[in-house]
Amino acid sequence: MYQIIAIAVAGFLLWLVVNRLDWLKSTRKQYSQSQDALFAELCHAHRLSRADRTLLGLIAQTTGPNKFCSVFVDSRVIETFAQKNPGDAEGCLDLCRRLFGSRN
Amino acid sequence: MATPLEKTFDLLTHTKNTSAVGVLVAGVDSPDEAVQALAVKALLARGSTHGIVEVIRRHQLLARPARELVAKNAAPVARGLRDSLNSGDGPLRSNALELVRQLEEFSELPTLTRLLEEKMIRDREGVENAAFDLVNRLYEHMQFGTERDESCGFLRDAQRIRHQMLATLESSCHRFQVHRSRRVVEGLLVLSDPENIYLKKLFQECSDEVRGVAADLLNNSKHPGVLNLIVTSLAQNYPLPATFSAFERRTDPEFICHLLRTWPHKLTAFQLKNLKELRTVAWLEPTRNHLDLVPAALHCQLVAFLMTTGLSQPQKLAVLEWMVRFGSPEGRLASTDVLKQLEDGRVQDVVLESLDSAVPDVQAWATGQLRAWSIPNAMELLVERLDSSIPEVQQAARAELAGFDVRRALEIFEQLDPRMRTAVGHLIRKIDPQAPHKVQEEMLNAIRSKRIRAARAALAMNMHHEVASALLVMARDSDNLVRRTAAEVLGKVRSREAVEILLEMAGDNSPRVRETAAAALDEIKAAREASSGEPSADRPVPEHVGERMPS
Repeated sequence: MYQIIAIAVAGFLLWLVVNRLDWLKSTRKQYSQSQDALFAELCHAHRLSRADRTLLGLIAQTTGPNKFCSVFVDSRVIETFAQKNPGDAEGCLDLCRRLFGSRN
Repeated sequence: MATPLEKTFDLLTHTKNTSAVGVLVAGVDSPDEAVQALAVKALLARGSTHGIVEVIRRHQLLARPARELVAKNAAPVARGLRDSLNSGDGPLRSNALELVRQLEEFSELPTLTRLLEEKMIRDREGVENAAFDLVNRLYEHMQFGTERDESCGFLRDAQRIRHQMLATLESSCHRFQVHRSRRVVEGLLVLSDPENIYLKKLFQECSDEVRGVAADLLNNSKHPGVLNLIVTSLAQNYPLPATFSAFERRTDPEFICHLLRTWPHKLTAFQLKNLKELRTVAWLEPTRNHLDLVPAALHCQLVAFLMTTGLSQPQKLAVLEWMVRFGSPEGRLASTDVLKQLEDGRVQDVVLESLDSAVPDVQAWATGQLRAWSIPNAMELLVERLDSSIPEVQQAARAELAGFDVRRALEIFEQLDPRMRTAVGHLIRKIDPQAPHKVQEEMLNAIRSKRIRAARAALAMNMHHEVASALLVMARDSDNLVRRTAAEVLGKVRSREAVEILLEMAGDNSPRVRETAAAALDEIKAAREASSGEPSADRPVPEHVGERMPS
C-alpha cells in the first residue's frame, strides 16, 4: 500500500516538475521575445553600467509601453528627457554619446 | 570599428527577439536619414514580412538613401509586396503597386489579376495599370537585341517569365466576366506570338465575349506588341482569322507604318499566300485619304505590299496612280515600274500634267518619264527642260539625254552640216557641263585620228576656246597632220598663247604645217584689223606679238 502511495506521490512530483519546467521554458521564451529582453540585450551590447541602465530605463519609460527600446534608435527621446530633467542632463549627454556616437 | 549606431542595428538585425522589428520600424520613422537607412537595411536583412510591409507603407516618406536601399533589394522587398497588395489599406497598396512597377516584380502578376477580380476593390485602375506596366516592361526586355530597341537591359529569364505571365493572363481571360479588364486581354496579345499556345487557347476556349474583345483589340490597339502580332501572324500557314480581319480593317497610321517599316526584303511562301488572300485593305482605298498618312520614306514598301495583295486590278491601279501623282520620288519610280508592266495608258496623262506641277520633284519625275511613256515630242520637251530654272528638272532632263554624250557627238559630227554642228555643241554642253573637258581628253587620245577628229569637233561645236590647252599639246605633236590641225584650230582661238605657238609653228620642219600656221596668223591679224585694229578685250593679242606676225 505504502509503495503505491509512494509511487503516486513520486509520479505527482514528477508531473509537477515537468509541468513547472514547461512553464519555466514558456515564460523564458515569452521573456526572450519581449521588449525587456531586447532592452537588456541592447544594454549589454553597449556595455552600459547599472547606473546607465537605470537612467536609460527611466528615459525609456517616457516613450510609452512596448516602445521603450526605441530609445536606442531615436536620440530625441534622451534629449527631451534631458531638457525636462536638468539634473540628469549630464548622464543623458553621456548616454547619447555612447548610443549614438559623437554626432549627438 | 563599428559606431554605436551600427552596433545597435547589427544587434537588431541578428537578434532572435522579434520585438526588434518594432524598434526598427520606429527607426524607419526617424528624421535622421542615416538612422532611417540603417533601419531599412536591418529590416530587409531580417526578412520579416511585417517589417517589410511597414517599409513599403512608408516608402513615399523615405529619404533617398533608404529608397535606394529598397530599390537595390528587390528580393527581400518582394516578400512584403504580396501582403501589401492584398491589404485593404489604400496608401499601402498604392505604394506596393508603385514598387511592383519600379522593381519589375513580374511574379506579382497573379496577385494583381486576382485583385482585379475583387468587386469592391478601390484603386482598380492602379492595379490594372500596374499589371499592364509589367506586361510593357517585359515586352521592352524582350526587344533587347532587336534592331528596334536596345535601350532597356537584358533580362535573362525573359522567356520563362513570359511563359508564366501568359499562363496567368490566359487563365484570367477565362474570368473576364468577373474582372472585365480589357488590359488583361491586351497584355496577352502583347506578349504572345502567332504560334503561342495561350493565344490559341484564348481564341479557341474563351467565351465569345473575350474573343470579341481580343478581335476588337487587334483592330484598335496601337501597342507595338499587338501590331507585331498582327503582322507576324501572316507568316503562319493558317493565321488567326482575327488578325486577318485586322489587316483588312485597320487604317491607323501606327499600324500602316509598322507594317511597312517591318516589310521583309523577301516574303515567305506563307506570307505570299496569305497576302494574296487579302481582298480588301481599308487604308489602300485612295478615296479614303489614308494614303496621305504614309510617310514618303515608306512609299516603296507600300507599292511592294500593294502588289502582293489580292486586291483587284482597278484598285491596285488606283493606288499606283495616286502614288504617281502624290508619292515620293522613290515611290513614284517604284509605281511607274509596276505601271509599265501593266501598260496603263492613264499614266501618260499623269506625266503630261506633272510636267507643269508646282512641285519640283514631281516635275523632275515627269521629265524622267517622257521617253519611257513615249510621250509625243518627248525629245523636244526634254531639250526645253535642259534650260529649266529648277535644278531637279534640269538634272532629270540631263539624265534622260545622257545617252547623247560627247562620244556620240564626235561619232556623228562629220555627217552634220556646219549650223547643225554648232547646235549640237550647244546641246551637248547643256546635257553634260563636262563636255569640253571630255573633248579635251579625247584630243589627248593615243590614236592620231581620234585626236584630229576631236580637235575639229571642238572647233565645229564652238568649244575651241575651252580646249586651248589640249591644242597647245597637239601643236607640239610629232605627227605633222596633228600639228597642222592644231594650227588650224589655234587660228580661231586667237589668244596670246595661241599666237605664240603659231609663231613657233611658222618655223616648223613641215612646209604644210608652216603654211597652215602662217595662214592662221594671217587670219588672226585680219580679225584684229577688222575689229578697228584693236585686239579684242577678252582675248587681247599683245602688240609685240602683232609686230612679230609675218606680213
